[in-house]
Amino acid sequence: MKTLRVKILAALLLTLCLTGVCGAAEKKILRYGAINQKSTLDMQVNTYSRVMDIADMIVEPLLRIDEENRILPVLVREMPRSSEDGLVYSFSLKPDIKFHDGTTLKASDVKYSFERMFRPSTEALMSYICDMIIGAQDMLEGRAESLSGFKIIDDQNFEITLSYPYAPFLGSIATSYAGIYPEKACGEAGKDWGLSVYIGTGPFKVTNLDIDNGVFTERFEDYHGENQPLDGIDFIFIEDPNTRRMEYERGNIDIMMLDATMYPEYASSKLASEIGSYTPLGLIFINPNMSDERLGNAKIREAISLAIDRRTIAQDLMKGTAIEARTFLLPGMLGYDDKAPVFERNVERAKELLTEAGYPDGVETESYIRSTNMNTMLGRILLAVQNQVKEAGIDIKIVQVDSAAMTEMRNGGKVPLEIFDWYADFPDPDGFIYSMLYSSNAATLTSNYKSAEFDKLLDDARAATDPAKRAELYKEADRLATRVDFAAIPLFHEKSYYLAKPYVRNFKMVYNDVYHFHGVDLDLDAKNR
Amino acid sequence: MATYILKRLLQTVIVLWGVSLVTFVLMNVVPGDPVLLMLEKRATPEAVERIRHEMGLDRPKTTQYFDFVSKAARLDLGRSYFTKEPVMTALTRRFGVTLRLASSAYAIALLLGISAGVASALQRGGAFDSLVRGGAVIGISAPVFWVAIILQMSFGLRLGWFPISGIRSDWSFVLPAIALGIRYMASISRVTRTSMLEVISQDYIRTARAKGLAERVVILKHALKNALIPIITLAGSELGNLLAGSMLTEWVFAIPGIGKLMVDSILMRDLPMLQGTVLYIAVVFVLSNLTVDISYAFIDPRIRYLKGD
Repeated sequence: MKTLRVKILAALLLTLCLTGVCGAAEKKILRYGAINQKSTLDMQVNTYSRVMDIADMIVEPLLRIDEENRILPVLVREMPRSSEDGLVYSFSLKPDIKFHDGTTLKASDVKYSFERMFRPSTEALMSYICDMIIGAQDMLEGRAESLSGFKIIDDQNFEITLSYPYAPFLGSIATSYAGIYPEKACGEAGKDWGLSVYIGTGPFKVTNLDIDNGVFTERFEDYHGENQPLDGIDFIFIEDPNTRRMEYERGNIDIMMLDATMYPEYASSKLASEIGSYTPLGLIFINPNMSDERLGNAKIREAISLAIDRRTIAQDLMKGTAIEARTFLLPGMLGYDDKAPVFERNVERAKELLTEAGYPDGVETESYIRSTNMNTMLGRILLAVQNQVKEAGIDIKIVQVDSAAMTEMRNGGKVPLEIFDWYADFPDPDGFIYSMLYSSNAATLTSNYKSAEFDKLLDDARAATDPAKRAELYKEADRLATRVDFAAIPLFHEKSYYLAKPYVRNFKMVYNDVYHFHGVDLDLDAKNR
Repeated sequence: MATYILKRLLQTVIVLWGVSLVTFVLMNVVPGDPVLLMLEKRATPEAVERIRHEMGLDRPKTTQYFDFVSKAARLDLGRSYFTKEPVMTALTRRFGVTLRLASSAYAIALLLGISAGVASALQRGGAFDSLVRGGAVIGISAPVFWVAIILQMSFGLRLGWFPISGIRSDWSFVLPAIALGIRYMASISRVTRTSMLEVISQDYIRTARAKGLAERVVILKHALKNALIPIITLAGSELGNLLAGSMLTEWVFAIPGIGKLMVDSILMRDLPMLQGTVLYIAVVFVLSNLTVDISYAFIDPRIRYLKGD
């Protein structure tokens, strides 16, 4: 009888072990408290950094930009070669790269992905980043069905020809907007692509795409690159920052972003040791409308710049979470002038400039801001600026409007002054200063800056292939815009913050404020202690 | 009765048409172009023109409206400008979530509200009556987001009894349902108390007691049944409110329901999604009012709907 009992017990234990109840290894699932942008994951039709957090782990472009702003080959064997005239780029795909649906990546998938971006029915938002490919404009205008500048040599090799030399081309196709999709699966999914179906070659594949609640992924075992330590990533949508914090404190999420305005409160709490920071490639600046009756006068713009005490705002208001800006371009970026002096505060000189501009009794203007931004860092900085420039006789009235109205007014050139936060699409000055201040772009971004000299500098810098020459051209363009024309009044480079549990290892942020989880690991022993 | 219901349903069609027209006109009058909002800081004139053409927004407004109405008649409400998801799919999915939340909150509100109201009326002037009346005032006055945060901090974060946010299990609905149901529970308890006080002073209740009926039968069968009409009127309109979604509760608890969908679509000028949610809410209110009107006839046999009502 005793033997029978022992046998039954052993059988039960064996069954439990075989069914995985006993001794099942804990999976390394990273839980990220994400913000729901109510958007498809398809990066051709949205521009949200918070969607990139998710999409970049699933779909990959040909190249990618790492945490140190280097462009690295991802789907190609090596960095593409360009012809001497800088017009033709030759690519060679790594062999046997698999998509998550098991199909193999071919040059035709790459061509399909680029053509999809230029096809009007896609309604792509960022096609301009590579519309210099021959045939792109024809496709965008509905005159062509295929991209004539894309030549498939065989399944592995292809060439892209540009209509003019564009030095930052490799940077632009290393962005999330140029992700490579599988032709068959993407075509079959149609409008559901990114909503219920999203397949790429990335290190994680989707197990549940729920646009209301989150995106749940698991490690892609056939990934062509380095194997990832994590078994999966759960992107859990929690919009309310207080709720997110409670979930974090409770241990239900491992990592979350932190609004800079909440930093001082968190820094003095028990969570202080879990705060991480980084400086994204971005700038906060005052954007005056050059076509405005008053702000069209450079002396008034210079007076505003002189009346702002950037140091006080950075140290007192921002509690040391901002770095004073000296240029429009960003530290570390090609063309950044590290010898540029700080912008001085000189209220007396500001008053003199107002007098010279014909406003000896002071000047009034309006600044529009989205009502949703009024309680954020941008709103607080604007209030501080309003207070400081008053001393010089500049009266800025702050008008709050809703998001949609703001965009329309800005586009119609009806915003006299705006506080702006601007981030690089890719870590090249072209993806930052050109997209903001070049005359055709400035016309839709409040500024309306039109300077033939400035435009020429940027045109020359775009076409130049020598990095040293490009750097000089951008440095000069920056000086012209910020210290001669005062087309933009730089304030700060903000620091961004996140909370990560001590057991989250190897987490690093990338240039464009996107959370990347390449190589991130969880120390389960530390977690369970 | 059948004629009455048919007539009310026909009126519903007219109401829905009116609602769709007003929504369409308002969204086209207020400033804020959805294409500019989509493109944000990258809205070059060429890109704006191209996307607007692809979305059909460069057509005359009348064409856009009649196109919407003809498709809506076939239950095709278009696709969201932003997610590109069919509006009907989003509404159906969100309705499932809102229905679960609303029915849980409604059950809490009805069961506790009516019980508390009846007990309070029966102990008029007593300690329990004071407690219910005081609690009802607090319940009606307390902002829903405040109640929600208190519940989250107490039962989610500190005690860990219920999930703090999301809808990963049935337990996830407990705190949001309480947060949402408290206000309705408070108003139902007040109306029940008032109505019960009026009924229990009637002669027929005295007669029922004089006949020796058990107090439970007197209260539940004779008093409560006759006190139900105002409670049903209130409960009916509140059902409509609950099914229309609660933006604040849904926001705080990260619940993807109808209320949040509507607010998001207003902020983003997502016209197809907004028209869909507004039409949905109109249908909910019309049907809940119709249900209340019909239920009167079943509860009070003296009420009959005749031709011409």
